[in-house]
Amino acid sequence: MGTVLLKADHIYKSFGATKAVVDFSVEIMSGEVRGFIGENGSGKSTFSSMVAGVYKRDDGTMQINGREYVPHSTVEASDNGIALVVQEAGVIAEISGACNIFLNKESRFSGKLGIDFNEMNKAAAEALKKVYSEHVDPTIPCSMLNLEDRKLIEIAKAMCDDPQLLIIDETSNALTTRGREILYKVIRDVKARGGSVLFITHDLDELVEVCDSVTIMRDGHYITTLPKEEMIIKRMRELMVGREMSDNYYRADTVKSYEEEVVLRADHLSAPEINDVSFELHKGEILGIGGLSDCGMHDLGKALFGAEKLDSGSVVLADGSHITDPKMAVEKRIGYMSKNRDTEAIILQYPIDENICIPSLARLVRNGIIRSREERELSRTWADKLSIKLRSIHSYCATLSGGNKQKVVLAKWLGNESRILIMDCPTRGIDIGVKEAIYRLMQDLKKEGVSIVMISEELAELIGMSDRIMVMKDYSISKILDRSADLTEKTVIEYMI
Amino acid sequence: MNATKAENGFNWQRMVLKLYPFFVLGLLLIFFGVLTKGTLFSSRNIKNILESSFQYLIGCMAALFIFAQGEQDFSMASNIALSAILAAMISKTSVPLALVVALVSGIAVGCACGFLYARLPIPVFFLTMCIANVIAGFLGPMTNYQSVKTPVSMLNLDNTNLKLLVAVIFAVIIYVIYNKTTYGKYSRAIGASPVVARLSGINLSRYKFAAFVFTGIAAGIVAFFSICKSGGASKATGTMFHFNVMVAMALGGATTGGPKVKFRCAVIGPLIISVLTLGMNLARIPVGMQNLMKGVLFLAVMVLSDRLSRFDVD
Amino acid sequence: MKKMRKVLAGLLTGAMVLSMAAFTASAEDVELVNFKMGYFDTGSQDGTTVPLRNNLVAAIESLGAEGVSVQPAGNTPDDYLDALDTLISQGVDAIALPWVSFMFAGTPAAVKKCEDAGVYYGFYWGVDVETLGEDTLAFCQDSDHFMGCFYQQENDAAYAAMETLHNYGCDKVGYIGLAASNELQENSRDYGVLKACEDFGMEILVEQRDQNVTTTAEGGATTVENFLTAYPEMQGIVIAGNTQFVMPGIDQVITSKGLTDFKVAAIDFPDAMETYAQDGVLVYDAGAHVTGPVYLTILAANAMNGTPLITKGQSFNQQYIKLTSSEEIEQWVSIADEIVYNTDELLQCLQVVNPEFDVEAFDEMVRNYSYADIMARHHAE
Repeated sequence: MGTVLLKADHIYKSFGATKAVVDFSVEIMSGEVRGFIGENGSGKSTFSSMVAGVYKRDDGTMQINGREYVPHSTVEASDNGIALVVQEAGVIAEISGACNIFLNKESRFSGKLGIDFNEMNKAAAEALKKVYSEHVDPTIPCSMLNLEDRKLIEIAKAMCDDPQLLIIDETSNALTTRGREILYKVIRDVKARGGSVLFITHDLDELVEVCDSVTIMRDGHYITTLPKEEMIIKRMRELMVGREMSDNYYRADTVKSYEEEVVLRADHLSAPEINDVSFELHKGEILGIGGLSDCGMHDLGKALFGAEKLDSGSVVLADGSHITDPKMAVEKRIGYMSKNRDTEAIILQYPIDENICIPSLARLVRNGIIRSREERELSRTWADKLSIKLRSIHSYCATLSGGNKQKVVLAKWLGNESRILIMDCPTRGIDIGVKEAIYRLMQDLKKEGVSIVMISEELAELIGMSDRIMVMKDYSISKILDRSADLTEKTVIEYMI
Repeated sequence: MNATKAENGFNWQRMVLKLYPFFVLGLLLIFFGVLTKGTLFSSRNIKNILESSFQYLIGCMAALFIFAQGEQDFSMASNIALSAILAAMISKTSVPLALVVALVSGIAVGCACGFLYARLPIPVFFLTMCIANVIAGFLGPMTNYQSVKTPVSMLNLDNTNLKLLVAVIFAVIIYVIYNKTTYGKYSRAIGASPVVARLSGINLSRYKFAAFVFTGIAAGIVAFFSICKSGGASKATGTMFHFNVMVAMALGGATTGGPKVKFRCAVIGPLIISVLTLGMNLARIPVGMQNLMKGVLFLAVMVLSDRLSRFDVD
Repeated sequence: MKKMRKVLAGLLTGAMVLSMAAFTASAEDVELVNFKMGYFDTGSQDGTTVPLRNNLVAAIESLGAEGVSVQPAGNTPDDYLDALDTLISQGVDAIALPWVSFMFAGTPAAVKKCEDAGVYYGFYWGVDVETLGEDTLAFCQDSDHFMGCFYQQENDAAYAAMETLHNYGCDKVGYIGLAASNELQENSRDYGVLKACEDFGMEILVEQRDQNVTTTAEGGATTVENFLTAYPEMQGIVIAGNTQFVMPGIDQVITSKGLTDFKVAAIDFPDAMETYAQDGVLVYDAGAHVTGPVYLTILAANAMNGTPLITKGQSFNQQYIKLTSSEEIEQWVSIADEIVYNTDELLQCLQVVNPEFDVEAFDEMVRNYSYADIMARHHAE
């Protein structure tokens, strides 16, 4: 590590009454991979967005290589050698990967008759090769690529001009193992040529592996920066939440425990990405479903909720009814938490209370009129029970951190007295404080007889929380494993790949 | 466990932006009141304001559901023309029957639009434009391009007090349905995110269909009162109605779908247009300047609305 | 004896002149009642609306009145009825109503509003009083506030248009016009066209009445292209409506195709009509029927000054300016922008200024409107 690449002094940023970043100062050296961690709402994404030109700071100064740095846009940031890869979707789905990579840089390929797309495609292929992603076709629309490949397009876009500072904001949780390996290689490449990386992640194991140091933020404030030798996971967790934490927040028991009663039966389900899947879900069971990202488990989750059209087979409940659409599923007290939280699970530009009440409204109707008092009580009760951090219950969900958004999703389904919950990646992109709370809640629900289908790409979570794990591979069930103290990640992976 | 609330202080800027349509209306009333030396507030002119805003009050209130869903109904004008013509034809036989025919016709067209909207993956504006063209295509030959006259006695129904009563009753009904039933709440949810709405158990088809039934009812009411006022109906009846509804809703603050489409948008918007138009005429503002003023006001409202969208106010 | 008669005749004439001089007050001596004359202003700048507006505004000022205009929101009868409400609420004393904007369906409502408001009103660009229909007449027939109807001889204008085409050897023609009527009125353009066909052995090969097409120059161009493609034997076109919109497109097509024998006869004056005449395309046009509101203002002024010319609504036959050759067209264009009646002439139409002026004189004035009349009054050598 060499000179100071980025110096931020006394940075402040507020959104209305919310103080997102308060008196934050930090220095990042060239050739350094600096991790940034903190609970949701700690300010790390806000700070990185200011560096990347997405937001303007309210106060404070920034310098790049000793020169004052005041970016008014992402374009200016890019001109200063700063690139950002975001957590959520950062590509335009309707255009090709090449067009995405060279968005706003099309003039490089000006030909006599406009843009020379052949040259652009070639350059895109080179950019993808640079980030070890030759398998991604840059000529087809991104809508035809899976989520991981779209993320690789974004990484190629960020890397195509050799940035001196690469900011990765909670990107790794959208990647599979292979994708993460690619990302780590890219980070090492940046470091090797003297550039720096600002790496935001909730995965502390990954952080320890990849980063040279880590800066911890809490409630918008700078807490401390730990060098590599002091990056102990337990310590980092405690600094993030400001209190002591237990080592293990999963279930303490080691055997499966649920009632005999079958609440849901999947009978030979078949769809484009589901191949003759049959299983039973019991009352009070947490059934984990795991596999590689494209093994079909996410589609299965939707199919169980009636949101995915089946070619054949049926989802049958204990009362004999067949689930054919989400409306019916909701009426039968089934809840579905999509892994695409912001686009499928809650409405961002919609009040928190209304989000919570949507599935329950039909129950609150008397003589055609919704009983307003009960509606209000429902939303407040669940916002309180789940300790949702909010400015006002009428605020839009967009103002919430990821963890609090997930709490709203939970509140929505618990408010509807759901007896079966289908949770797809329930702790994705969530800080450990909220993760812990969600795991505790799942255990409470299990005790109350609620049945949970938990689809997850995190092996530790599957092993830690499930009564049984249904491993999927190539759209079919590969193996069903019972909860056991001896069950290891290695065993599960064997059936996944 | 208790929910924690962060600071929740009063923000005057947010309040102004939240209620800007009221401020716009208030400013216009003051401005033209002064310019016309109070003539704007004469009983005759208050009556004129109510008269000229009546049809758009009905249209905008009914269109709340479709606007909340983030869509527009481009078939309203043709629906009004068709319903008015059919009602005018029947009016020679019976005036009450003419009202029934107008409503039935309006609802029938609304149902047709709603059914197709719910079933077909075609953008609504395109679908309703096509339906409008289909209707317009046979209106001319149906009437031989002439006006269909109504009995002179129907002119007595062109009565401000009657219209005020109809508007108030309609407003109460729509307010309750929009704010206190699933029709309104789910329409707003669909407008905010149809994907989440569906995955939350909302039957999209049902509410899409219902939205058009409401606009169909409005078309019937507007058609009936139109023939009472003008003594007849032709294919030109209701021309540009849907466009004027769009403008009125935008002025009332409904520039996008979802939760920002409030009931008050449908009331304030038509009143703004009526006060502006009447005020400019009473103030003898030259025709060219009137168009300029309208354009500037609309632009200012759009900018304010954009500023509002940056706040998380509901 | 002979000499005595001559002397007596001279004395009588002198006495008459002196008495006329005694009773004809000069305009400066008379204090005119200031009243509000309401009218509709679409804001259009076309070749008919502009002279209509200019002449009306000049007449209002000359007759000591105050003009109050309102722009209708659109073109439908509903829009005009709303605009009428606005005019009435501005306290106008008299209103000039364009019948063509209300038509048969909207006229009863318009008349009722004016009667209820107690304003003076009359129609121009329309039909005669009898043709208004029972429903309308029920409101206005015996009303002293109804100033009557100023109507043109539409059938004559159309007949003359067709006759001109026939004289140019164009007997197979295309027709561009307004929507067809349910019932063919005798005083209508269509009636005149059909009568000419009968009298001169002419034939209408095809019609275009779609208002969506005939209200743009492109529509005019497309129409004539289609006409010529479908009917190569066509020799001319009669434009019975929307001339101001379609003429540029029609002229462009005919001149570009070099069809020197193809002729056009029209009703309503388009802008720059002398160029179409110079191109040899336009051989007849009837228009400039822009004085109806002026005449209504005269009637209103008389009524407001306590000397009404009429006590109930009458029909007045307003004239078209008929131009039957390119020379006449160019002559007309040279004076088209002039105000038809100057202040002195208008003041002489008020009985408080000129007691001799009565409804017969008024009717004669209306009938005399022509190019020759204007030249005699304003350009006499």
